[in-house]
Amino acid sequence: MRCFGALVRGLGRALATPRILLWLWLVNLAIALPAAVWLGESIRSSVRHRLAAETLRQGFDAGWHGEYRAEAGGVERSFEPTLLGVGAFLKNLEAWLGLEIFQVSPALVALGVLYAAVWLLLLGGVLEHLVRPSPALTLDRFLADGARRFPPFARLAVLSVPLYWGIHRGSRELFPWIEALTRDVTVERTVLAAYLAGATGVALAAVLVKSVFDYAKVAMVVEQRRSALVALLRGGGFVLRHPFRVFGLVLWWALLSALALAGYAVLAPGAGVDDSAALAGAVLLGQCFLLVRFILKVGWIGGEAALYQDNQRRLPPPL
Amino acid sequence: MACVLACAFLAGPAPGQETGAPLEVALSPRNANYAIEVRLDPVERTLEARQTVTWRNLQEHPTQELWFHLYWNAWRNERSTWMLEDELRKRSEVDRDKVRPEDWGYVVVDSVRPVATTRFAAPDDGNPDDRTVFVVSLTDPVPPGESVEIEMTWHARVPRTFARTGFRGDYFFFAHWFPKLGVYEPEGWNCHQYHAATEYYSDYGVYRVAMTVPEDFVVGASGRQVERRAHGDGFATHVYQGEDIHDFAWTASPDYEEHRERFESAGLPPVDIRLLLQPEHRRQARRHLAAVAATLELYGTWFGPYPYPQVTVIDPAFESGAGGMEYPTLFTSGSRLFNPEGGGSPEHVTIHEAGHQFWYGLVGNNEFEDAWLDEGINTYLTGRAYQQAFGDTYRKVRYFVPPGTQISGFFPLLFRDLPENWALPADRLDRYRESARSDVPSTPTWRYHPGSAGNITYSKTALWLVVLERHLGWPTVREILAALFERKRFGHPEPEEFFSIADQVAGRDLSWFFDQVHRSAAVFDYAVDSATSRRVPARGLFEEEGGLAYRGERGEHYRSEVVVRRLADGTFPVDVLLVFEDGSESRQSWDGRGTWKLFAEERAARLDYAVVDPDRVLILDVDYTNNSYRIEDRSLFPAVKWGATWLLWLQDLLSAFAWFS
Repeated sequence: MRCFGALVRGLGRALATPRILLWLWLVNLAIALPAAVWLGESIRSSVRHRLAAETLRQGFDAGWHGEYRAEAGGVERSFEPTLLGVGAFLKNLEAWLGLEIFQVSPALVALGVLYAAVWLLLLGGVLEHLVRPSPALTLDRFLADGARRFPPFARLAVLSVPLYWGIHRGSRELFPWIEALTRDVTVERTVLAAYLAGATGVALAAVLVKSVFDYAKVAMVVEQRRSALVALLRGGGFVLRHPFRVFGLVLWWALLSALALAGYAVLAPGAGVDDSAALAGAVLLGQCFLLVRFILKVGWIGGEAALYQDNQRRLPPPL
Repeated sequence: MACVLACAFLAGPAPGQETGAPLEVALSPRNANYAIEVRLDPVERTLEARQTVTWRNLQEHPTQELWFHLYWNAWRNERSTWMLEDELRKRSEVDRDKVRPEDWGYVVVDSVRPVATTRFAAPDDGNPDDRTVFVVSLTDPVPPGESVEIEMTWHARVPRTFARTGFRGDYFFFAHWFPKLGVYEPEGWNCHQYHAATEYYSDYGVYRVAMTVPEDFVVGASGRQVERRAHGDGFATHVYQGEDIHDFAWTASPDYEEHRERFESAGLPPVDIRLLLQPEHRRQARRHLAAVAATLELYGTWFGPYPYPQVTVIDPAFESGAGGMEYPTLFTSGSRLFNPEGGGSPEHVTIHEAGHQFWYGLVGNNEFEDAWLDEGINTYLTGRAYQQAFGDTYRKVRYFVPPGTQISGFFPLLFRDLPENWALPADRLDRYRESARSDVPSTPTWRYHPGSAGNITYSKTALWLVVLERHLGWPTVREILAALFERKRFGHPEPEEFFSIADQVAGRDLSWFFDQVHRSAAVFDYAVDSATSRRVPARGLFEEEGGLAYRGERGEHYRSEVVVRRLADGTFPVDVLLVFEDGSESRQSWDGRGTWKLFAEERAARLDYAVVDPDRVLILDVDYTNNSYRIEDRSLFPAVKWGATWLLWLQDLLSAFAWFS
């Protein structure tokens, strides 16, 4: 099976059970929403009865924002007008590339870690369904599958921490090293090329680690394994034997994600949203975009499962 | 409109055309004159030089000493005053972990004639390790009005760029590179050590500098080229001369691409603009030139013409650290490979540094002690000129910042929903607010805390000039600055001269204002503390024709009460505007001196909102949000709108965390 075919099959499996997508989106929303309500209340209290409320309604008020930030704590300081439209996603992409998402406020890091744990819980259910689709999927069954897979998945996650940390440390050495290497280069284009090469290397390393652990989870579910270490060996072996298909699948996913982001960039309204209908439309569009991202993500996981299962079928039967 | 204004003054290019004739008539005292021969070894990164200094004593008492700045000794080691102060900044200019042994620089005076003795001095802090002030004791005193000529030989090692001077690869920028005289004043020599947060101060003179560099290097320098001769050994000597200037900077690199335009405008003398551009910025040449032309036009019209026949604009090499700096008749701008129009760069920095040709170049204040006189005034004027020439820009974020480095992002994104007004950028107020109490501006600048000196010097001054403009009007402020420019052109203005001229031009005593914004660290914050509007019972006996008559109800009648408070120590006369639901308004004035004042009105309409300082004259108010109060709270919509924007970012951030599970 080619990687694009795997992604198509994964997307087909994802879209065949919209309930899963809906649950994933709802969990994401449920964890983020209280913090957003808190931040909204913080913004509200700073402009309550003030005319700045009107300028914030019609657009943005940079003067107000400076005053707000001067008084703000960690979470509030993450609010910037440049989170508008694709700005939010570019900021996160940049933070992810530099593993700087852990440098936001401690409260948000805690929320992120909580979400990562919940995602791990849900992932078991997602994978179980992608590997063995069941038309009669219920939330109870989904959660039960997730709970059953959670302990070994958690062990895998723990095992991945030093590797990601290593990549982080490596990138912290790599980029300053590139800076030192290019310290006498006077042409920005050349320096940019060097950094892009470095960033590509870091991204590939991160994708490699993720793929190994992803296929370990897939192996665990496909082969009904309990041992995280054996699954890790299976996943690692699969990635080493099929690097082009593994990375090809990632590239297709990245390309589709970029296209979705470009589409959102075109459609996303800006700061001028000033009535309830337009605001509702903007919120809806943003959430739809996130839903598309969930479809792509589950499609990617489904593609990984499809690649792995396809390979299993091709193997000669055990003697 | 911007392009029409900026481009209209540029006549056709004149490649290779000689720049204008020397200034025959002395425009300045020309009491500090230099003839320098210097040779660059680009491999060893060293300079070998011989210089003749001719200095005339303008004071009424003799002196037997000459005090020189040896700026490059600030980067001999980490014990210099510059390096020690730099460590106090929040974000040090020097990443000490990355400085290599070969990066340090120095200047050594090998010989001085005639001389009795030489010594180093540290007049500001007594730092025995600081070698940035060099005192030459002469064999004979120099009487008032008389001159002395001394010859010096010296050598220097070029530092990797510190404070915008040095090298990167085969790119060289030389600023403050030669032993340079301080200024002899009635109190003695004014020759400060090199400080991290301040710049320079010198007398005017004639500079003739012969620079020998590899033949394939392009040279840009203060003044104009008068000669170029190749030696046949792979080196060439470029001779530049500048009259009535107070410093000399130059640059050499094999990569520069040269562009020339002539600025012409009715009523202003023509100026040859020479732009030395990085080849990868070729498509931005027009933008640089347009910004220079706009500055020459606007500043020239506002204050007086740029008197030199040429100006040289240097687009420095990537990450060379030389960008955004002014020198007489030459300045560095600074751009990036990707720099979309509408983002403010490189136009803004070009206007700012070109503007320094007037405020620094022509009006040569003491930047060690009163840096606000050029940086603050010029920051204020830059915003005005930019806005007039190019209009609004948009918020720009540069993405792809390599982690662990100090490089700013490579890929810019303009947020066209977030316009920015350069005449009053929001971040200027943010920077001021951050440092509002840090230093009293009348303190000598070199004594400011290095971490916040820029916020006071640039941001606060520019802001209080906006306040003055809104209080007195632009024509008056322009007239004040034009009068200062006229009086102190080729001279050294003092702060009190500015204040005195301001009083004269404005026709009133403004000391109450300058006492607060310059001679103290007063902070301004006015607020509408409360606003109420309640229906007033109006039953009872009222006078009518024929005597008192009883009336049950006189219809809708409201008493609106607004309490305005002064929350900080600064005082300023403010207006208070009450706007009623029927659209009617009431505007009253308050001298702003008390701690609070009640404004009450009885009308048929209910109060809609009240604002103190509705025209935002007092831009220094550190919290303008609290300057208004609306009876009806309308904060829910913006809270939902911006909360939802943040929500989407947070949801995506959570997904980024999920990558690791």
